[in-house]
Amino acid sequence: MRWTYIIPRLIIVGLLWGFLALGVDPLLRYSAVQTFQSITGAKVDVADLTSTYFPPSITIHGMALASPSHLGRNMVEFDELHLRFESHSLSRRRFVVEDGHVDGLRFDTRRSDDGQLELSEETEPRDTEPSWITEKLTELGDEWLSNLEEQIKAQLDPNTLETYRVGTGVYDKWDAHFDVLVERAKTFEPRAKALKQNFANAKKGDTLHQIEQYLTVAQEAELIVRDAQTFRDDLTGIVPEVRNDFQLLNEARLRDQEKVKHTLALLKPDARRISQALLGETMYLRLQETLSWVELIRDYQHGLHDQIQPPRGSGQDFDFWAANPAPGFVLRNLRLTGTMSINRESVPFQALLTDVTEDPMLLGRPCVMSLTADGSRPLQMKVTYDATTETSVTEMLADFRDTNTIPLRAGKLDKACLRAVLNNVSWQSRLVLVGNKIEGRLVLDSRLEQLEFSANEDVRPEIVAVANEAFANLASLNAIVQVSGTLREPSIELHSDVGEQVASGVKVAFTHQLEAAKAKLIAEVSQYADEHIETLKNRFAADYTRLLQDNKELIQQASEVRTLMANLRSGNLDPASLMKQVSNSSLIKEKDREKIDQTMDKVSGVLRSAALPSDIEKKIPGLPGILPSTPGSLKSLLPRLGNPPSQDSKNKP
Amino acid sequence: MFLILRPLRMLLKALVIESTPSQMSYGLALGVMLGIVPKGNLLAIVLGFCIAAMRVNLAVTACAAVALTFASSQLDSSFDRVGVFVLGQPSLRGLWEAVYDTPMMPWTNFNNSIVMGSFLCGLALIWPVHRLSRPVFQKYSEKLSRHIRHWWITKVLLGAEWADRFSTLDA
Repeated sequence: MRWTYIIPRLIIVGLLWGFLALGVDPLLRYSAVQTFQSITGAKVDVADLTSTYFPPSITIHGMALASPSHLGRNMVEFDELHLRFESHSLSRRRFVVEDGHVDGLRFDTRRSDDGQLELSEETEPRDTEPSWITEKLTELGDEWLSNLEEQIKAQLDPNTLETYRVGTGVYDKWDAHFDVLVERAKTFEPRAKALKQNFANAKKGDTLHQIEQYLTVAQEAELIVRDAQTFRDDLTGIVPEVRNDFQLLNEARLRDQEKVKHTLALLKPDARRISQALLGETMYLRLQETLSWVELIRDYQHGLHDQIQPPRGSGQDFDFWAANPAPGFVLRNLRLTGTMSINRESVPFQALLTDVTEDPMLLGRPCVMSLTADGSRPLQMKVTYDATTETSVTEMLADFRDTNTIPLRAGKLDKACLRAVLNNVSWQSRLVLVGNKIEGRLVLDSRLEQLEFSANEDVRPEIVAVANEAFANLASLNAIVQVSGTLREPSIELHSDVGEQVASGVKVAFTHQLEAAKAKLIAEVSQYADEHIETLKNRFAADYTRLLQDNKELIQQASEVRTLMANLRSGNLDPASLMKQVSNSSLIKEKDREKIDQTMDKVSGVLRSAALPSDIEKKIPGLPGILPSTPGSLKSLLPRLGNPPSQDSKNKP
Repeated sequence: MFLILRPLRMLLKALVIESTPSQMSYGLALGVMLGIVPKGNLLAIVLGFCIAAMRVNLAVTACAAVALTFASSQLDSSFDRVGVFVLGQPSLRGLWEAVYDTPMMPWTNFNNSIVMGSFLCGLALIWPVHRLSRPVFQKYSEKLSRHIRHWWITKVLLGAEWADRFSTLDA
């Protein structure tokens, strides 16, 4: 009877002991796997789980949480997790981790399988980089150089200069005008030839006939001379107009100079865009990384709260915690060691996590995570999450150094591109997240090396050379990213002195080039205008000179004939004077002039001696000696040669 | 072989053979209570231990607990009302807070209305179930023993010695 009582009870006790000794750990392991799989949505592997009751503790070896978004990758993996619970709190159903440590913590590691619970549909690989703002910043970066190129091209386009437009107009105007003048000048040539021919014809025949011919020629010559005079007057009359046009051209030139100067003042690259183009992506990635940390720390509470709360069954749970309120879960101290990836480099780190709880208000202390990473990229970070008030406040302080070089690039390689290398990079960030509103800044301090500006053939090599010369003085790079707005849609403003310096350098380069281009353009315009003016002048002068040369003799003869005819018309010219004037003129040839002179001398001798020449006197009988100067004789009819005619005789026809 | 069969024989004897009608009726009443109380908390475990420590028919207790575990879900609304009534009493709040602040007590999940309601109902049902089931067990226990004795497993485990003893009892 005694054994029949004891044995069943012993068996029950033995089963319970067996369960506690051998069954709890597998059960906890199963629970842990199921719990983490429900959280991550991917496979969770736990190599071993052991627990102790005195003191209450749990140790997990070889745990790997697969990434739901990256096939074949573990989100996080660690070698050992040890948590020691507080007995007093555990007896009251509170999980207070007095101390704990995670060793061999690694992120984003490989795993043998894909790590997915079920592959119902292909999931697109998530873009790790923040797309929209990176693209936006990159676009902004590409724009500034493109716009500048267009501005430069516009400035270097001669068609935009007023000088060219006015000069072209003036040239076209006077080109047409001088064409008309040349045509007019050419019309003189046949007339002059005809006049010359008439002069030649006028020499034939007797003297009276010649005189008649000369009169006709003189009239024609007078017309030619008058037309030539009119042509000369017209030619002289255009000089003021030409001067006026040249003045307009000069004024246009001055306006162009002012315009170029004014445009140069406006032609400055946007320093903000340059900074964004050069640093935007790098800074944003760093900022995004920082924000991810902040978000991770901040959002842990929601997941933690969900996990701490047991699955509610039916019924109602009454809260009797008022006597000694305390959070259901508190992680007082957890040390983490392992490796983490910073800029794709695995670096060892140590971290300390304190006061993690699902109810910070009840705990009354903020959660603090301190992290220190070694290696070539030492990182010190401290994140404080204070949810002890209604509005949670998250503050993050980070100091990150990177001794490796960071290449930067702005613009497109096939166009204008600005490249540089950052060295000894130092990042400092301070972000404060109040609720969903974020405010803070990320400061970058680094040494700038190999800043190089390159461009395709659209940009003149002188610009590239001057820009690089200006950039050679840049040795340091400081940048500040101001963050405000909300966590999901932060407003990011990037300020950097490098943008201003690059902008100044680019401006200097382009300004220098524009000054040179301006001077060249002005010179070209002036040369252009001068060439046209000279061409016009030469053309006019050549035509005018040639016309004068070709018709010089003709015009002179015409002038003389005109003078002669004027004397004839006046009637105060005796035959001797007429013949003498004709003889002295260039109307007749030298040979003819000599004949005329000889004839006139003989006539004068006869008239002076009042006797006929001996050869004639011999041929005329009955007329010996000198004829008396009787009235009515030939002598009396002739005027007294050698003596000035009396006033009365001048008036006689 | 003897060492293996002997404990099993004694276990079977303890479970089904050597029981009085009162032990069986109490076992049924306690099994009902254990069955209607939600599992997965310290209260159910403690109840199981306590019941196992009593001199009751554990077989009947286990059968009743298993049966009521599946059936009690239909009665959760009733248990909930009872639990809310009891736990919601302002005069008892101090008591509940003190109990809750007692080590290990929160693990009993007594602050749940269904747990509390079902536990109280189970306590309340012990005496009625015992009283009602005892005459039944008195009437049918001998028949049940005889029936069980004819099981092949019983014959194997108990052997001839125990068979003779059963015969003596019958006589």
